[in-house]
Amino acid sequence: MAGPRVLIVDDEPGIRLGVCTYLEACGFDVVDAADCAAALQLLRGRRFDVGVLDYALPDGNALTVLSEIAKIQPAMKAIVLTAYPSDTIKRNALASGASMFLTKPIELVALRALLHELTGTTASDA
Amino acid sequence: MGVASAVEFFLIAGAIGVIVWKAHRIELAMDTQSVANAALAGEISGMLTALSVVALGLLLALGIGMLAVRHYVLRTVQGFARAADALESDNAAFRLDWTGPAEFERLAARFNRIQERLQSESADRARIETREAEMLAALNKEIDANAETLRIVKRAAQAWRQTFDAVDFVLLTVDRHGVVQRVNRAAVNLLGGGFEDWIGRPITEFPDRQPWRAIRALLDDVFVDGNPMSGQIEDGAVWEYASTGLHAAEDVAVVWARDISQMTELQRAVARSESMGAMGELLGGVAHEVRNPLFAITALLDAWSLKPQVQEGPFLPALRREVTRMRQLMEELLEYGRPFNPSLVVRDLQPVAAEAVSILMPAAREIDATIHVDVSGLVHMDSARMLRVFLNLVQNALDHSPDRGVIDVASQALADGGQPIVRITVRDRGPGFREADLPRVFHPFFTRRPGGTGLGLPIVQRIVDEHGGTVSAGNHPEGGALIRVDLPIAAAAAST
Repeated sequence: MAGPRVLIVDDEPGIRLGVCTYLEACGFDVVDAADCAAALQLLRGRRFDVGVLDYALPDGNALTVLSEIAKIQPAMKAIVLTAYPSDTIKRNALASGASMFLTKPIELVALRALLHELTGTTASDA
Repeated sequence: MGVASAVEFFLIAGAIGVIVWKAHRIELAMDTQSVANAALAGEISGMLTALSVVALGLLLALGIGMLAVRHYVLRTVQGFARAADALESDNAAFRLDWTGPAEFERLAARFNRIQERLQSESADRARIETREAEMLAALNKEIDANAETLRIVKRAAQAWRQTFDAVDFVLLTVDRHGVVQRVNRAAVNLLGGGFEDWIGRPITEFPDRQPWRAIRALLDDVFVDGNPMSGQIEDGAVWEYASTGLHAAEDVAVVWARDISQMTELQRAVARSESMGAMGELLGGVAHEVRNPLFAITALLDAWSLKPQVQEGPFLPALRREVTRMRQLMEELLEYGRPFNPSLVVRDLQPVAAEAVSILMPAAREIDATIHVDVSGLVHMDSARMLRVFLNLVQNALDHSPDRGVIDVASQALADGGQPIVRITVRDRGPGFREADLPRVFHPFFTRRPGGTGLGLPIVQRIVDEHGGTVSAGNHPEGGALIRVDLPIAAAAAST
């Protein structure tokens, strides 16, 4: 049985590589995108349980992706990450449907636990 | 009536003569001839008749003569009486239109000439009087105006005195001999004593404390070269002071001084606040730039730890890349924050530009790019910092160049409003800047390039600024980004 389906959106290749590799090793079904356009294309073609979205993206920001998620996959959860936290960004992200707003860097153990919590799964499910 | 009486007298005398003559004839005839009575009676009767006729004629002539004489005399007298009335009433316009006896025509003409002269003199007098009246009116008007001017001047002087005393900073006037001509209340309060104690006193007698020491020194300089001067002195309190010039046309120098301690403290607080704000912004940017590679490193290490069997996989190069990125960030931060070196020396830009291109040639080869360099010009510079300008600009151009792109690094000497400058341009053939990004390209940490620190152009701006130049970003009309750096040409070069 495949684990929870996770969409990773981040323009940093090192982050995508590390996070994707880690989560895959933990049993998640992971797909990644480097910008908004690629993320929207994936959202239209596949179903995801949760998204991990970097706030600042080269062609927009996480709010664009959250808006699309709300329209076409309303059951999908989302975590927004940022390297430059601010109350305004946090408020906007939560208002746009994000379940959580976190500041980089985060421990991947913690990210893994959050993903299980949001998807209602356990490590053994993954 | 004298003339009438004379005529009457002659007429009567004539008549009596005729009667006497006739009576004498009668007497002779009676004596010598004893003629007949009839004849005599007839002759007497005839004689009496003749005598009666003569008497009547005489009486008639006498009456007519008297009337004629009366008329003659009355006309003459009335004519000259009107003239006398005109004279008495100063009626110089009056003329005798003489129709009376011709004997008086000359007299009338003479009277008229006198009248004409009187009338002319009267007109002259009237003109003079009119002019005098006009002059008097003008004089009165001028006096009124002068009185009003005087009132205005008095009010202005009063207002000036009040203003002079009302200003809350020290204000005084000093003549060219260094003698105080006027002091305001604030000055007296600071000097001590009263107004009369300081007006007329030399400035050498000012108290030996600030701001008076500074004012004395300032005025000494003003007296020497006559130019306006100002200064600031900090001695517990912070004083700002100034003097007007004292050239030949000026009688006094106006000197003022004010305690700006509070304002200075406020400005310093604002500067500290701005500095802290700028530092906060910078730290925010640093934190942002550090968090991403740090997250990548921790994520890669976590991933690698789950797959320790992977030795030749992607983790090691990715980790190295992220660590390199953090090292670059650290170096650029240090470059951005490096203190300004004020010891600039005159150097040619040509070898500096050539060295930068030489350093970046391997990177250019990776994308098969061509770099054309044609830069020269003597400027005051810190060569190491100027090398960083060329490195950053050419590296920026390479980062945005397509494969086999061409980069032009050129310079030209220009006169910027009389100031000779050398303009350095770096152009690439990439997509150019987005119009909306242009205001932000020199902001620290602003970048559109993945992995870029956003410090390259801010470092260029900082260094160019330290060299007294300016930098601007735009796009070339034929495509590609165009960075322009203007630097002042060194005086030695500019004069050749």
